[in-house]
Amino acid sequence: MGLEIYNTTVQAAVNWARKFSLFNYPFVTACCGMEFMSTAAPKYDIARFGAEFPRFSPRQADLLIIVGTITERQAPALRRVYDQMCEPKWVIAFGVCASTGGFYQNYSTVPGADQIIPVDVYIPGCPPRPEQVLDGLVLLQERIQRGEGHSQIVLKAEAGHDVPIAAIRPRDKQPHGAK
Amino acid sequence: MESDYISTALMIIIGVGFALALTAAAKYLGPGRPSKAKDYPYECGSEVIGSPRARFEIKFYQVAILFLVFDIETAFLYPWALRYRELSCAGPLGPDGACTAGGSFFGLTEILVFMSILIVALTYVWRKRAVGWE
Repeated sequence: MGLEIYNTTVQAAVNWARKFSLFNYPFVTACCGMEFMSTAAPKYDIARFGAEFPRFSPRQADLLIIVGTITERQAPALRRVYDQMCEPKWVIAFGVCASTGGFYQNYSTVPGADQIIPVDVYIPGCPPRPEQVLDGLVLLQERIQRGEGHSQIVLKAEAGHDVPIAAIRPRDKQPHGAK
Repeated sequence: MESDYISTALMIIIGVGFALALTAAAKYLGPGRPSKAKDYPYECGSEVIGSPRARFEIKFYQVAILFLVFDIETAFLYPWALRYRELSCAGPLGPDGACTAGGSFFGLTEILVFMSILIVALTYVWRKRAVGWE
C-alpha cells in the first residue's frame, strides 16, 4: 500500500514539479537559434511554461534542446553533453535538421539527432515558428507528467518495473568516432 | 528593539533552511546515476586539452594591478567632475545653479593633490618599465 501511494501520488507530484521547472541546455548549432531566441524572448515568453532558464552546463540542465543541424563532427560532442546531464533528462529536436537532417542529404550531416541520442519530442519546421516550439514543449510536459520520457522509462526499467520494450528506442547508439 | 532582530533571524533561518531542504530533497528524490561521462570535465562536449591549472605569465597580474590604479582614478574623477560646480563655489549654489558667493579653488586643489600622487605612481611604474609588454 505504501509503495503504491509512493508510485502514484508522489511520482505524480514530482513529475508535475519536473514538467514546470525544465532547465534547458540549448545546443544551438545553426539558424534555428534565432527562432529559439524569439521563443525565449518576452513576446513568446517560454517562461510562461516554466522553461525560461537556460543553463550552459549540462550538469544543471534537464532538457536538451538541439537547435539546428548536427554534423558527424559535432555528434560526439552532442553525445557527451547528453551523457553529462543528470537523469531524468529530456531531449527536444528543434527543427527538421535536428529531427531528420532536413534538406542536407550529404556525407557530413547526421540524418536526425536521434541517431546519436534518444529524442522525446520532434518539432518540424525550417525553422519552426515559436508557436510550434511552445506546442512541442507542452507535448513534452504531457509526456513528463505521464512518465513517458525516454530517460524516465529507462529509470523505471532499471528500478525493476515492467516497461514496454518498444519504449526504449533502439537507435540509442554511438556515432562514428565516438569513444 | 529585539523583536526587529527576531524577524531578521527568522528570515535567515527560513532562507538557509529552504536551501538545505531543497538540496536534501534533490539528494533523496533524484535517481543518482554516476557515470564516467558525468565525471569528465565539461568543455562544451569537446575533448579536454591540458590541465585547467595552467601557469600564466606574471605580466597578466601586473596588468591587473595597473588597471586597478587607473580604475580607482576614474572612480574618483567622475563624482568629482559631477560636483565640480559646488566645489569651486565658496557659498551655496542658487536655484539656477549659479554661484551666489565668490569662487573657490577647493575642488581643483583637492583633485590636483590626488592626481599628483597618482602621477608619482605612474612615473614609478613607467621608470620600472611595467607599462610595456615585452
